[in-house]
Amino acid sequence: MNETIGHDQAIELIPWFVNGTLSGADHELVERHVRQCLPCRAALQEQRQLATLVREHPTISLTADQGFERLMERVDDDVSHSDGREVTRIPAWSSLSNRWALAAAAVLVAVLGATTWMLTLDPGTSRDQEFVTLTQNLNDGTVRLDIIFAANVTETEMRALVRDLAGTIVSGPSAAGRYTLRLDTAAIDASELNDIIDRLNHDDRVRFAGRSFIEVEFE
Amino acid sequence: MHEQPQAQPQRAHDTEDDADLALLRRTNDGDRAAFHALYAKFYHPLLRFIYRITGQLELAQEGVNDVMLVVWKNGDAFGGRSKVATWIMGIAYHKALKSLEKARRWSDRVTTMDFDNSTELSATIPEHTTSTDLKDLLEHGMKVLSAKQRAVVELTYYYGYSYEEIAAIAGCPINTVKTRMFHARAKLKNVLPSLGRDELQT
Repeated sequence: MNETIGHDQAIELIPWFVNGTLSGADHELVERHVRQCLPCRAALQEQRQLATLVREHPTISLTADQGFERLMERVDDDVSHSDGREVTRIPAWSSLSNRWALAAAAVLVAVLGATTWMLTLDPGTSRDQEFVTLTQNLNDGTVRLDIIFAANVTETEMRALVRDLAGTIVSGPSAAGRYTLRLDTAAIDASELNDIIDRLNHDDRVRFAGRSFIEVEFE
Repeated sequence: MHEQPQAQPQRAHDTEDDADLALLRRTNDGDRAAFHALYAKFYHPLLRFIYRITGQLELAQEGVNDVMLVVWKNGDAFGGRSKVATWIMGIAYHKALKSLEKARRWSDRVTTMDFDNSTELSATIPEHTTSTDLKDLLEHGMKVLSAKQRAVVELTYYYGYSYEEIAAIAGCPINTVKTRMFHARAKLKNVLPSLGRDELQT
């Protein structure tokens, strides 16, 4: 074979010459070039050593059995929820968020009737009417969010998400699977809170996220 | 050059792949024992691969199950145009990148996460390091690479894939695979200057 390969092409193919996956023809071309090219011979030696290092890099020693058990719990969970008992899989996430957003907006307009009401919390008067301001934190200086996690979210993922938010679950799950989360960060303004909620609602782990509304009770 | 841009790797006769295919077909029929065997076979390769891309063990552990859940549910989507292993690694590749992106999105907002194990800790390469252990240097070097560059290096040298197979796994053109490897080699050369000079003392 009189065909030759250019230096740039040869040096590009060296990693796959090293791992032995080049086609017969390409392997021969690279091999012939390397014999005559000092920089390529140097590159070949480098890559052989790199390959050795990568192959000898320690693997993680965990067993597959526990992982498989957790996986089959998810599989069985999916199966049990597809028998009509409870619909937990939401195929169109964006449509759900829109439905929730519209519903929440309608409730706000109907119940509150205005854009701001002051919140007064008096633990001693548990039957007082309670309203939530749209733009202010609660009197105790924290912010609360309501979250419903996606059906296939594992406990590890839930804890990771809560940790990512620097939050604490303070109640839940409700019958609908809603958790209330308290954010333990410093004062958050409305814009930041909206950003957080928006990110959550675009997270595959979350079915719904929104500001937490304290339940209103009347005497 | 004998190159086929964006070529799919041929599914040549391969004993190991035949065995994987048999397990996958039984899995598609709901055979949990077959699925368990497939899971056990791919667990460590997937765990290492996803960990290499994301740099986070927790993400890697969950990532393995995310990938195998796809295999369980969508095994019949395997078209047979590649090896079973290539198909599974392709799912893992995209899941890992997505997982890494999500983790990064949250780290941008919340500073409380511990990212000691996160990837790409620094874009700069230190001129001097107190560690002469090549494996430590490799670990550092791999963190300097992008996730996609890390994936190419791992797939080439640890998993032994051809560049055509890597292109199929990553869903990108062959030239992109070569370019990523080119840049990865250059970055690793900076971190591992002794590569190629003497015999490795490992």
